[in-house]
Amino acid sequence: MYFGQSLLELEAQEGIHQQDILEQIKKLGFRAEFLNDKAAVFEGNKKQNREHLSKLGVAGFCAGNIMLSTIPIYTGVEKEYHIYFASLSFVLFLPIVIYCAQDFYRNALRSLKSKSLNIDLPISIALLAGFIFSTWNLINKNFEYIYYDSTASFIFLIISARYLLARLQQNFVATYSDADFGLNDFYQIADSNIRKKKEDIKPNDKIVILEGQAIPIRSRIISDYSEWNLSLITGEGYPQSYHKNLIVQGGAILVSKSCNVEALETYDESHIYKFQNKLNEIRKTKSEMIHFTDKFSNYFIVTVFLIAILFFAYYSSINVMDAFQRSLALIIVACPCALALGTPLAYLLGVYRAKEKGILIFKKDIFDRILEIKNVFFDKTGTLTQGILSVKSIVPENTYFINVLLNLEFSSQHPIAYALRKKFGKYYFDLGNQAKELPGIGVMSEINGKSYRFLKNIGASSISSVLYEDNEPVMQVQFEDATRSDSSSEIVKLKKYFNNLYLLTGDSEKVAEGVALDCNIENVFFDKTPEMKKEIIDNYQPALMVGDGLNDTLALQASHVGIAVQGSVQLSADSSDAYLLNSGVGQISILFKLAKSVHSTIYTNLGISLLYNLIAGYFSLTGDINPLIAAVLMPISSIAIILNTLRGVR
Amino acid sequence: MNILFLLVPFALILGCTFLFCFLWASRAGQFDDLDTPALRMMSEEDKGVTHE
Repeated sequence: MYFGQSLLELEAQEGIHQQDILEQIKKLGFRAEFLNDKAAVFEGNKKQNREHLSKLGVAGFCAGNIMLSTIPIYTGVEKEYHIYFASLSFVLFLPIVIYCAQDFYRNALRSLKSKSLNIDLPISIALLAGFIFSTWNLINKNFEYIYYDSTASFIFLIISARYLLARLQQNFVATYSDADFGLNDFYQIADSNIRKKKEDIKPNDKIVILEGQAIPIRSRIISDYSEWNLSLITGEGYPQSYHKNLIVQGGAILVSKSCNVEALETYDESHIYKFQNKLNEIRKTKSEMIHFTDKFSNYFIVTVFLIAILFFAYYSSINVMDAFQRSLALIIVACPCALALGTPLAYLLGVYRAKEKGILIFKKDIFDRILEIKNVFFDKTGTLTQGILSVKSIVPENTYFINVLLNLEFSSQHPIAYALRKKFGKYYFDLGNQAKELPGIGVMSEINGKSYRFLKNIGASSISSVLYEDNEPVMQVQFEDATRSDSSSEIVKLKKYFNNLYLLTGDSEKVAEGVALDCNIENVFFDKTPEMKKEIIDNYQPALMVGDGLNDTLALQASHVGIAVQGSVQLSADSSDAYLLNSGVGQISILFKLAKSVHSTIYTNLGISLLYNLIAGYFSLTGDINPLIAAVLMPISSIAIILNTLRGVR
Repeated sequence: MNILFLLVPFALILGCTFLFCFLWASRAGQFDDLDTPALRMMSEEDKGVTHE
């Protein structure tokens, strides 16, 4: 359900007619029509916006002119003219009651039908009560008790606030889900004049990628030589050279001149598509906090109504006219718009501000969960270190075995694979094997009837791997990986927020301790397989896991909050709660601060709203606030909440 | 004071004219998108009139 776009997405079993679905929805009190695609959604939004704006225009015109025709009565024009100006107000008020307020009536009826309370119910009642009360007084020539002016401006202000909010949400949704990966809408098919939409590209289609363009899907390279920026996939900004027949992942950006590639999957299967889909889902998620304020505002409406009715019943024996006025003032002044509006807006803004700061959030409740964290775990490679391995030494330097290695690591996205390709890419030729990746351990494959395994050398003092041919070690490769320069200062910052920081890695003790020392982390878990990482996380909940690789997937899924760092689009789409657009761990403290500001904003909103409602409610019952002042105060309180939220969340 | 009976309806008629102009513009979609038109000239895809 996408409230901002008035869009409902549903799956139906086979054999169910579209008409039946529409009937069912109608029974619930909603109007629905079927939309064919995304463009139709925007068309639908457009239609609604125009309708909304028209109502806003009419309401503004009428409210303004009612104000003008009320001034003479207030400023004491001769009595004989009162009826003239009051009737004028009545005529100008009709369009508001009949046309502008239609949405309020519809929502109020729906809320009665479904027995769930809704802010539009008190608004409709206040509007109709104000109208009937004023008209009755107009007929009886009781000109001091005419409230067309206040009711009209009340409705006008509410319609404008809603219009602004709707546009804000639509803009937010439109810009947020299109996380720009530099993809084009159309791609040129090789040796033809055809340009295909990226959604229509099929496996085996040959596409031309131009300089600066990103490739949408996993593809095999046809051109002899090309260079790609893989920062989305590996986190490394430096271009990588690719030779013919190598496979390049979706999201890679071509740095060299044009290059022909052969598609290996459809766009629907690509991890970029999955990533964007997951971003879209943020609209569906509702946090506990939003549930809570929704419920709270329901109770709030019931309470206010009860108080108003009880007060009227009690006070009407003293003065009916006055009792009605004061109850009306209470209902107008105590609308919980502030509450129902402030909390979702705070979350929305939090997500938006996070994106501005380079953090893509998949679930809104990350703002709640990150505040519960006790233990923080960091993966080493690519998270605290640069994640760019380089080959330090290779013994013996046998070109056949080097090519075997390249074939083993052929489609791997592991930093080791990149290091090997970077150094030895020019020696590569295809041996026609299928490699199998063993996360956290290495890779294996059969080549020319022999079994080859390239496994991590557990217990070594540096990062090194050994190539085995039928269980015989034949070659050893050593790698090195530098610690990121900002890791240590960021860890110091994080220590202020979290008590226990841990390093959790599959590397050996010496490598892990070295990095931990560089980064000021005291607690180290080393030599851990992905399953062991998950177990540790389970034992240390609520835990925050920061990782980047395939070997962190289980841990990220198990953790209370999982954050994927740059260079792991593929991974984060499946298992994490947030994705950092910049490399390094610097944004985690920013995310934490943001979560805190979201929460404190919600609490100050609640505080302001409660205080305002208590004071204003009290004075409207004592008669110090008449419906006119109430109608001005209520929108002001809503605006105060919006401003407080805009100011608070950063 | 009697002049009001002439002037007020006159002012209202004038106001209504502007209101109808606004409604027409809104229905015609003039307020659909207030951001992109200003940037449209930057887009290469735009097939506007070109002067050789």
